[in-house]
Amino acid sequence: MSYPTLYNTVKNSRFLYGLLKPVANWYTNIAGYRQLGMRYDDIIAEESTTVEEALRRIPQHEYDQRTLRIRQAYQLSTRNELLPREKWTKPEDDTRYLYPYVEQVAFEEAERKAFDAAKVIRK
Amino acid sequence: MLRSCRLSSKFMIPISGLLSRNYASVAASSVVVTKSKAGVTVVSIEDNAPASSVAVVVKAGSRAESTDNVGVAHFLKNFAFRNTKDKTTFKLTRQAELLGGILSANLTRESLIISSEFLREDLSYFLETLTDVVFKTKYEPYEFRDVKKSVSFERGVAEAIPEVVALDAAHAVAFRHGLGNSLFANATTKVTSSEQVKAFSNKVYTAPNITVVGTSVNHKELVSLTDKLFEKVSHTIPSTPIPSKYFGGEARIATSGSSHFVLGFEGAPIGTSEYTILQVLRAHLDGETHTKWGDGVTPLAQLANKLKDVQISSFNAGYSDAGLFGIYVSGAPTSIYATARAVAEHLKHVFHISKEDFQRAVAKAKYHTAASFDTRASKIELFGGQILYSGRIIPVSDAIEEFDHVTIEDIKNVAEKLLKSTPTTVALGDIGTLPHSDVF
Repeated sequence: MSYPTLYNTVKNSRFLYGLLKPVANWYTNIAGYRQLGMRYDDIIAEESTTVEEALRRIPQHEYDQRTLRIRQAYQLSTRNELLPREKWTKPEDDTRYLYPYVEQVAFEEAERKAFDAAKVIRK
Repeated sequence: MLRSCRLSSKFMIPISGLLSRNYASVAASSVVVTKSKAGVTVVSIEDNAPASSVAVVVKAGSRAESTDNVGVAHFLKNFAFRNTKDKTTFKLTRQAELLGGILSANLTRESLIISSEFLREDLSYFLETLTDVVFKTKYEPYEFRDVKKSVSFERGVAEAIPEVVALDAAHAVAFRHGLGNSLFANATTKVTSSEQVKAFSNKVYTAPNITVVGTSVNHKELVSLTDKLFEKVSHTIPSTPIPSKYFGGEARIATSGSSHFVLGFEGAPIGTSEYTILQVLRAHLDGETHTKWGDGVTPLAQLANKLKDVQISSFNAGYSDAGLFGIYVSGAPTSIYATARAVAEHLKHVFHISKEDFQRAVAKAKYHTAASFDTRASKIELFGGQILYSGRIIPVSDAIEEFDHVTIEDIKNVAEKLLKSTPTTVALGDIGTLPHSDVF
């Protein structure tokens, strides 16, 4: 699930951040999920054991709200409609409620792999 | 009868020889106690065993629960070795396995024991693991669901054992709160989130509440490691628990299957001379046979042997400030009725105890005491509890020597005192036939 990222480099450099942030905002808008009332973590591909386990770990109320958002988006998309502008997901509401758990599970999986391949050296 | 005569004559000499021995192996193991700089007491027992163990004994047994978080101690026990800030559950388990160690958590009415067993050279790793559990467990909400499953499973297993149910009920009746709290978080538990468990852990994991007990480890090393690892422990002085009060009463639980009956009286706190006397009385009343195919020599063993369909055993549960003494009968309901009456009668006339019976009981009580220090786990539990609740260690040799001062007169007085307390009775099974408490 984890992939190489320059996120921290960009975030820490004022120049790169100023340069790339508008592009990022534009990209997020064009992606169109906010217009359907969804959050970014709602569109992480669910069909993997990692994300399935992460979904099991999120608090119940987050899970319920996620289900509602996905249902609403599905309804809208079948009717080929968008939400009225005032109901779009606001950038400050677009929180990463799932990703920390995905990372946690991915870390555990990597750890398991590492242990399965471990060579034991006794001091 | 003939067989038992022959047995006793045959072993007469070796047994007396055994009794005069000074329990050399037990006496040789030295116990060292040090107060570490962190404020945590460190006990180490050198018994020259090939395998070592170290445990964190915490004053967080089920009696430490309050009415708004009954059952939380059981949850805390099952949260041991869950994800910590530095290590995941998986890593903890795998590393322990790679080092050949065993990690376990145990709950008693008075203490929570988080322990590890390992090879001598791995002390530092395992003590670090235990402190990780104490200070760095994450108590994540999603883990609570998993822990709850294991808690429910353990409760289910316990509830299927009539002995456990009956003795738990006996404690609940005898002490109501504190010591009366069940060891298992039952269906009425008010613990619904990991926050409650975390709050409880913050309350109980404080320096005065913790003792580190090691067996077969280097004491100096254990102390210096404790100094380092427990540096950040909180020094809040815990509120003094409410002293236990004995109430007594009756519980009747209807279940299908076999019938069980507990007849209990107010016992004595562990470490007191009265407790020692009760140990002798317990050995005298015990209805279990200790030789294969033997009939048993104690009066209750002979009674059980005559009735054929009951089993009688006695217990003497001693805690830091109270105790519960009694007998446990299981079998056919009508025979239980007869047995319970006979036991009460027997207690009333216990002063008729013959000198031979008395000596036999003393010998058995001595053996029981010595044997209770036998395993690593029992040593940890006993010494840890002694330090936490009385602040001093009672060496095994002293505990055994105590029995030499017990006289028949003591037995008589203690039995009289027992009978004066309100009896605690638990009837489990066919409650239509099982006796009521006012029969005694």
